[in-house]
Amino acid sequence: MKKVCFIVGIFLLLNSAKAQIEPTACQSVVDYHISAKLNPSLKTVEGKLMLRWTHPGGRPVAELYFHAYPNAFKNSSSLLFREQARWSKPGKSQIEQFQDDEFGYMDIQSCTAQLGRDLQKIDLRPSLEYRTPNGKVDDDETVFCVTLPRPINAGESVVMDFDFTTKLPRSILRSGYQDNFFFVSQWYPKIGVLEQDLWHCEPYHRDGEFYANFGSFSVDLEIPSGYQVGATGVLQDSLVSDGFVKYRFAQNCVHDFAWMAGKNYRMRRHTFQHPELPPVELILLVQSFNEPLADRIIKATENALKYYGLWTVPYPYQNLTIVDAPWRSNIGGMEYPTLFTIEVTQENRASLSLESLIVHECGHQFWYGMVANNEAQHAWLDEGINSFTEARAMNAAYGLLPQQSIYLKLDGFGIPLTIPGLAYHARLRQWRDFLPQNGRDIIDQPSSAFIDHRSYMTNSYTKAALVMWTLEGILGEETFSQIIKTYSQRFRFAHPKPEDFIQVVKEISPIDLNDFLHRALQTGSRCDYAVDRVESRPAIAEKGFFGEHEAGASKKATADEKLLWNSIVVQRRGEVILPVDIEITLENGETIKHQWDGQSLWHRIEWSGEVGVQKAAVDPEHKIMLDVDLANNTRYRQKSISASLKWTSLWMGWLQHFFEVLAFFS
Amino acid sequence: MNIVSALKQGLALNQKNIKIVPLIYAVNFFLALIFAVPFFVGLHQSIGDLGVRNDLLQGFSLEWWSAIELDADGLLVTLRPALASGYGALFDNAQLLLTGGFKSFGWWILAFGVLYLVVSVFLNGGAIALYADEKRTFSSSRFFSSAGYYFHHFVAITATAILLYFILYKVISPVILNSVAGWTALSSPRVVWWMNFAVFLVILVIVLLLNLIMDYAKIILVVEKKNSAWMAIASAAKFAATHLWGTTGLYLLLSILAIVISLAFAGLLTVLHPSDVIVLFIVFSVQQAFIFAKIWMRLNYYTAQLSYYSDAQTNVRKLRKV
Repeated sequence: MKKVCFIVGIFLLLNSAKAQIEPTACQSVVDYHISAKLNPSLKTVEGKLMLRWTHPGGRPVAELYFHAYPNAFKNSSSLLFREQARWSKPGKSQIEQFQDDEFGYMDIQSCTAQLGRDLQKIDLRPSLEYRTPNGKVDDDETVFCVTLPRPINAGESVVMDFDFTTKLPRSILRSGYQDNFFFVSQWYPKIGVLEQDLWHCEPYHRDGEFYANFGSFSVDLEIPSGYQVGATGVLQDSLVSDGFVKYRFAQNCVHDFAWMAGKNYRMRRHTFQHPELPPVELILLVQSFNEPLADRIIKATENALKYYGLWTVPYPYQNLTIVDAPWRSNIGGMEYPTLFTIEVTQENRASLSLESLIVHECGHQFWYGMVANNEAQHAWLDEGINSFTEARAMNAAYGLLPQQSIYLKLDGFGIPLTIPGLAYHARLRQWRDFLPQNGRDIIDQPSSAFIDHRSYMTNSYTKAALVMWTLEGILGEETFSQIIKTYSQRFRFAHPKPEDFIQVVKEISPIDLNDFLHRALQTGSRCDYAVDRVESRPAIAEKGFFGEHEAGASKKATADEKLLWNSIVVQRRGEVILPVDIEITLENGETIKHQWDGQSLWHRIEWSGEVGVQKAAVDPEHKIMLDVDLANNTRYRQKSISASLKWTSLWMGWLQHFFEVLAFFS
Repeated sequence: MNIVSALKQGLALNQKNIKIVPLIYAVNFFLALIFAVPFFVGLHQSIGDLGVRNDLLQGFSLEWWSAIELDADGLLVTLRPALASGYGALFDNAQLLLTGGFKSFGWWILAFGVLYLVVSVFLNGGAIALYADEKRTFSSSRFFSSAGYYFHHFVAITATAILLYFILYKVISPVILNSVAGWTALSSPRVVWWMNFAVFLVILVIVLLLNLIMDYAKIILVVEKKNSAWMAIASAAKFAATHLWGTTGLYLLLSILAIVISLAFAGLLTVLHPSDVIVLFIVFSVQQAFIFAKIWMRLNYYTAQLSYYSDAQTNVRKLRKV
């Protein structure tokens, strides 16, 4: 029996190795070995880090920059808390709700380095200084710099050892604890990215996410017994000793490592399978009272892996962990390599919003996890493209989204009313989110540079998604899919910049979209195409001299009374210039199609014929989702009262009910 | 008298004076029409020649509504997809009763609503006086003279009621809801949802109990020919307390009937999708029948509670004689 099991085991191992493309294609700049121990009562993680960093190329460097992000939660002077207070109502920012022991920090007890083949460890702790590559940021301590005794050259490695303690904050912005749940992210000294002789090591801002080099992680975690544990990478082994469980997780070709430990959690395992994609083991860590939702969560994750895998590149890792973070912990809805978090609310579980959240966060395994742009500088590259792919996947998997109104809405409460017969494409929801923010900011700028949090969200997520929808509309689904696929394949395990994406568009697009991309991404230009006028009137009777100016050559013709003069005027009411379709419907039902390059401010189409115009539409298929007024895209020649009558009637009924509610008090 | 008999007697009494219902309905209809005309004109100007009119005729247009939400002011902003469902108005009503957010639809609508409230106060006086009249036949002169006679008393009762509701909505409810938010800060979403649901249930009970007392106050004021509205409210509170099961049971029975009728109409309106003129006319007719039924139902509360009160008082007098 043992022999049979052994053979089956070997077969499964070989088979899975064949199907799974273990990522090795990345340029491994960093190699992290971490040992960490969680102390739940003190809310601390004591860690030892050994980091091998290889100079990726360029001029020699002596200064190395590191993120110390737990210091974002250290005190009211941190950049994070100051930015958060800027956008909060007085007394409402999270810092003002914190008790003294709920703050967090990172304490670096020791820091040594070994250079090249030198065996001697050099103490770098005295050189440690809290400053960013651009200088000191007031009292913020989220970036530090250490100075090596001598510069290291391209290709040369340095091995650094850190002893550190991370005190976790009460759960805030993607990290911390809530009761017996610990989510540990951005928790170790993480080296910045050296790129073209410049260090990218942003302080921890309120808005904007992260950036790091690809590399390998091997992490030993020591957690008290009784906790469910999930982490980036693959669990190599676990060992129980003295009331603790020691886990070892490892993963290549990732750029970060996050983990969780929680009580009252259930673990569900499921293997994602698809004929064209490698299998992925899904590990769901779900709070016990949310266990009935496990199938829904897994199904949505599978949908994301399927559509993203088919449209971009297959998910390359062996497993994927989904963490159901506690409600109101500020931890749900975030992505890390091979792990993402969700948050179940009464509101999202009652609709497809839960699925949208899962698809979006899982989607970041592709846009962020593999195609890893600098999120702090160009958030739209991952958030925007991911929001586009999310809406596309949601539509493919779940169809149109039902229209819901929420009554008695409070934090954590609301009674939904689904409006029968009303449903819409996910991209229309993105368009609705974008409208109030139109023109307030530009898309392509650092996350911390937006006018406010709402503007950051709208521009980086929804407006950028609408740029993608517009590109797909203009170029067609097939061409744009090719762009997405090429971009994802070319920049898998790489750090693309906006110009890389634009370059791929240029290579594949049959039309020049430079001006559009510039206006859409780097300006707050408005986009609005409208039908301004639709006319049909009897043609002017033929009168006057025709032919030679000789006596008898003139004629006074009578007009053909059936002949109509038709005129359509379409306008470009914004600065964004795109070619647009114009569709004219005649009264006999016949349709005439035109294309307008959109260059001038307006465009007129005139002709005489026996049939009048019924309506005209510019961009009738709503290909240009950046258009801020989609309602003016189609105009009829004649007005009709039917729709107005219908809604007036419904509205009047509502008003009569309103009056009767007041009569309740009479 | 048991509550079912009171309900039956009340229905019969309402039937005998059925002319009051169209009178109140007419006020409701024409007051709403004053708004419906400019609403129609504004809407027609906005969508009359746009392609979105087809979407609005078949269902709804998020494209048009999104722009309206941002830019429009006045009546058009009160148009919402929820109105496409027959249940939309019911959910709105329930929300208003539980939160008191009457000004959320704009001051003009609220001002006309208050006007309707004042007119209703006036008409209630006439209606209850007629119901209490021994002759029990409708006479317009007696109706209006009674309405005028009791008006100031009924205004006092309504003003007291509004003050109490104001305290409930603006003081008591926020305190309870904030406390619940504090207590449940670390609870699961489900617990929070049910806690808030329970709070709204409690608020609903308070709203209905207050309404019940004010109903009996008006009845007592007319039947007992009291000269003080506040004395009538005190007597009503005492009566409701001493006949707790009967008064609340009858109120509950009437409310169940009102809910069943409302759900039936709302269901019918949800099934009917007006996309052509004939169906539109049918929907409009059903909608008006719904309003008519609602007014009829509101008057049933008075007639049934009057019957119950009268019978209870007759029994008391008999006992006193004995």
